[in-house]
Amino acid sequence: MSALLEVRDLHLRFGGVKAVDGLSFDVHEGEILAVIGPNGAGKTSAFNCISGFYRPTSGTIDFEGRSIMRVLPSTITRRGMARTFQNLRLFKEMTVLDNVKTAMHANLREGFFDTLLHTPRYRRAEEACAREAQGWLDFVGFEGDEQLYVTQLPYGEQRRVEIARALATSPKLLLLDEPAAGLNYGEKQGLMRLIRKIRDLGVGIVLIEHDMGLVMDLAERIVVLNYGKEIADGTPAQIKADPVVIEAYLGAEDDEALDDTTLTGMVATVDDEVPPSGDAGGRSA
Amino acid sequence: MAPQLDLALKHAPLRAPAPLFERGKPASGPRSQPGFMKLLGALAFAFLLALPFIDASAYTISIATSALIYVMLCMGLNVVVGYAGLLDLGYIAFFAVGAYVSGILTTVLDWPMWAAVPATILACVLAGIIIGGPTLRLRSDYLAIVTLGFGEIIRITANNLDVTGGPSGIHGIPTWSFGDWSFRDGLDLFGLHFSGTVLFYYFVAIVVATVGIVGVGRLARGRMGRAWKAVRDDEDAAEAMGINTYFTKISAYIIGAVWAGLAGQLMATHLTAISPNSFHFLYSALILMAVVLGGMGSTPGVIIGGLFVSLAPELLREFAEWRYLIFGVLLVVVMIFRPAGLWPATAVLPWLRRHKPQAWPATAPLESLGGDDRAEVGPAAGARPAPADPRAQDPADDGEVRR
Amino acid sequence: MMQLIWNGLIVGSFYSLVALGYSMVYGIIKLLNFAHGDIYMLGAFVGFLVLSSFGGIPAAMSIPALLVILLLAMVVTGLIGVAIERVAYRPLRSSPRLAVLITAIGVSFTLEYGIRQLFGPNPRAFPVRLSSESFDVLGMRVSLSQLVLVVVAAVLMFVLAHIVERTREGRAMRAIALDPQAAHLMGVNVNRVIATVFFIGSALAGAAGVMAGAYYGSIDFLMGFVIGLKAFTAAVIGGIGNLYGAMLGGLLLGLLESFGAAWLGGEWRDVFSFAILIVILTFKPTGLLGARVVERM
Repeated sequence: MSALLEVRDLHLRFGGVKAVDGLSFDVHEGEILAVIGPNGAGKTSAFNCISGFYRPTSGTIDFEGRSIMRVLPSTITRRGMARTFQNLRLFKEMTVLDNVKTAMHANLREGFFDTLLHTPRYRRAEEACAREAQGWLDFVGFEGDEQLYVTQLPYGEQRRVEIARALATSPKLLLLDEPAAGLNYGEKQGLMRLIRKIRDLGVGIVLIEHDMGLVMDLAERIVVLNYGKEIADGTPAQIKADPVVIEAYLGAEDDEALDDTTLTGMVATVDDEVPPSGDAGGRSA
Repeated sequence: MAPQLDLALKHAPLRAPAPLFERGKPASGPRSQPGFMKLLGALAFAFLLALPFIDASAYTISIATSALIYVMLCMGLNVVVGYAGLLDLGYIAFFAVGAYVSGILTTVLDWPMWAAVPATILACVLAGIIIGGPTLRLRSDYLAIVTLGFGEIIRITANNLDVTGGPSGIHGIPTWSFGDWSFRDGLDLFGLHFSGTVLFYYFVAIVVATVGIVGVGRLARGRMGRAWKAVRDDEDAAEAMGINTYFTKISAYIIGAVWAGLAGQLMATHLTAISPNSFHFLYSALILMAVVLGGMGSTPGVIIGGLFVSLAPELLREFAEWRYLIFGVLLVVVMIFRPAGLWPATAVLPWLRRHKPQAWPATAPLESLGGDDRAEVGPAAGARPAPADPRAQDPADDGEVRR
Repeated sequence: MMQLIWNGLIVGSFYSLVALGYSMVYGIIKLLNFAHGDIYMLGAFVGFLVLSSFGGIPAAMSIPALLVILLLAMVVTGLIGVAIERVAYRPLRSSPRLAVLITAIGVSFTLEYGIRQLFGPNPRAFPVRLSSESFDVLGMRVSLSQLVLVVVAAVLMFVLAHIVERTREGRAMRAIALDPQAAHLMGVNVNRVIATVFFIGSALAGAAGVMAGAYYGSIDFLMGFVIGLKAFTAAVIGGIGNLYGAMLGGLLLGLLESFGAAWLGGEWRDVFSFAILIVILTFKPTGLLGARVVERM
């Protein structure tokens, strides 16, 4: 079976800093792949390359056998790859239901004049859109009030809505960027069930995660990154036993500290927009 | 009552499982939010129609007409600023394009006014693409200055060219005429004689403004409106949802341009003369103030803002002198203390029936939902009412996915 | 030809002074201070007030007197800049950009129409005119006043560059521009540094205002509007956030405009420079000296 996503020799540099340095991996339909690595190892940068937000310096990324290099993120999503964000990025001034409906944008048969004139096509599309959105909300186990604004929801529920929103784009491959961050134990268990359920729909899943328990439990295959380089690729059992991985994780407290400062330096030179967060924010692995 | 999904949705690899239960119909009737707003709109419309019978003086009608033109402008800018979150400081340029295109076509080329309407729309779509095309890729604050620059370019160009009449502008713009009949001839209806172009312009303005208000409201609630708001709230996330943010922004820009262009044509006929001074940056700022003070993205708020900005100087002569200073201070104060404006887009009127949260069915298969710790808490589920959809009772059913 | 260059440089040095403030404020808090052009206007009016309260000034004394007034106006406009930041911008520092930008427009209107209420809508004659004796240098007609103007502008820019590059305050500014949170954690008093930036930027604009008043001889409440736009253009040409870029951009814009106006006719001068702005933003939004910015998420 050919791979859903093929990443080959991916490089990404910000100025002189190599954020991703030669990454290759495959994802197949209905597979759960985890990408792990110490803070600042380039996981999120790799995600951003794959989903089209960063332009990789070199390498190839094929989705269903077609290159998605230099393709707009929206086009990549339309081709069937959805993603969530590390620090929840819901549409804050929209209701829960509208957040999910928005994700159906590309799949809705509703033209400009349909909306303006409220044609039967418009009614049909809106009805189907609401129904699908509700279906996804129910699927992810969202139990709150879907007419609320997303900012009124507790954090765990917002995570669920974000996953429902990604599913509503009708993906073949779903990239989840630290979906368990900030969740409590019970919520993490729920999340694991949900991810397996999504996999059972036939969707391939790539997951960046820091919670090793969750990753070892859930993932069928794991790719380990360090300093933008891929240092291991294998089953959870192989990864657990891999001396290089153990070295990267446990071998050096200093390494990680050093890692943080290099990343902060990088953010400072390339970025005048966002203060360093997430990877550089010192969340422990 | 499953809707015909294939007619409504494009082919997609993954369809959602059916909802676990049917949601109740959304609230309707005059005490629900949408019902109440409709009622309010109908009352306002009736008042506008009745106004000439209350006070038919040319002064009143003329002020009311220009207020409606302002409201139309504000609705257009609301799409750009309120929904799509693009700060446009040269919005009046589109007003100018509409006014000049209709003015030139009817005076220089002797077109009838109605034929100039599609030409105006076309010109504004083009202007929207020309101005928006290069600038909408920019960051929001650059966009503000560039649109301001464009606004000035249009005004200065109109001031310098011969075809636009230079600094003195265009005079003698003809009235609306259809064949032999024109607004000047008046009309006999139901035994009443309607005369005077002023009154006719007023009715045309009512029609245009109503269409403008209803149209923007509908667009905002539909597919395109959701995309606008998504781009406003988080451009990257919108892009990740398969929304082409660039085209979405251009679409908002074009809608704004067309609305302003139609308002410009209304004004050209209403005043019969236009000059570059009517398209100064001040007016762009004034419209922006109306939208911001009223509440960005809020139809009732923006209408109130537009009426305030246009009527206040007329009603309070003293105020006219001070208005820009007051508007300036108000802008700062509103942004600091009430950034959502006078009537925020998310406002729920307190006396209306509140929307009831959906209740979850008691027997929903919580365990299979990937539900969180609440799934383990048995008794809580017992409090929920019975499901509306029998499907929800079958845990196996929710795995059904149409592929 | 040489005359065009010289005239361009004169106008360009005004643009540079105003552009510096734009660029500094943008560099440090990413705020497009829409009201910055109006600070320039305020500077001119402060100079006007002081001069008219003195009555006339003998022509021989005009240059030293002007320098004193320049300093005074710089202090006053600097303080006004700090006050604006404190009242209007600081409460909104964590708000969306749109909100802050709209506030800046509000501030601009408040300043413009506040001055209009105080001084009336008509232009006022600046009470001191610099003598227009001129001499020929390399085929250019250069007047003494123009020379003074260029020298003052150059001195101010030199002092600014020294502050930013060599002092503790300057280092703090650069730190905040790179990363406000980290700078805060390192013990930089962010509020004070931002206030300093507003003070310096506004003082420079105020100085430009006084000089423009003395040079052109007439001032009005809207004089800051167009120069604000032009200065922004200059800052963008040079690469916004970059001080040398702002200086270079100002001079360059002055020159381009001077040639553009000679070529197309004076009535197209503004159209020409806005067109330059649009072209630059479209094709090279980081400007000539701006660093390549990867917009991270």
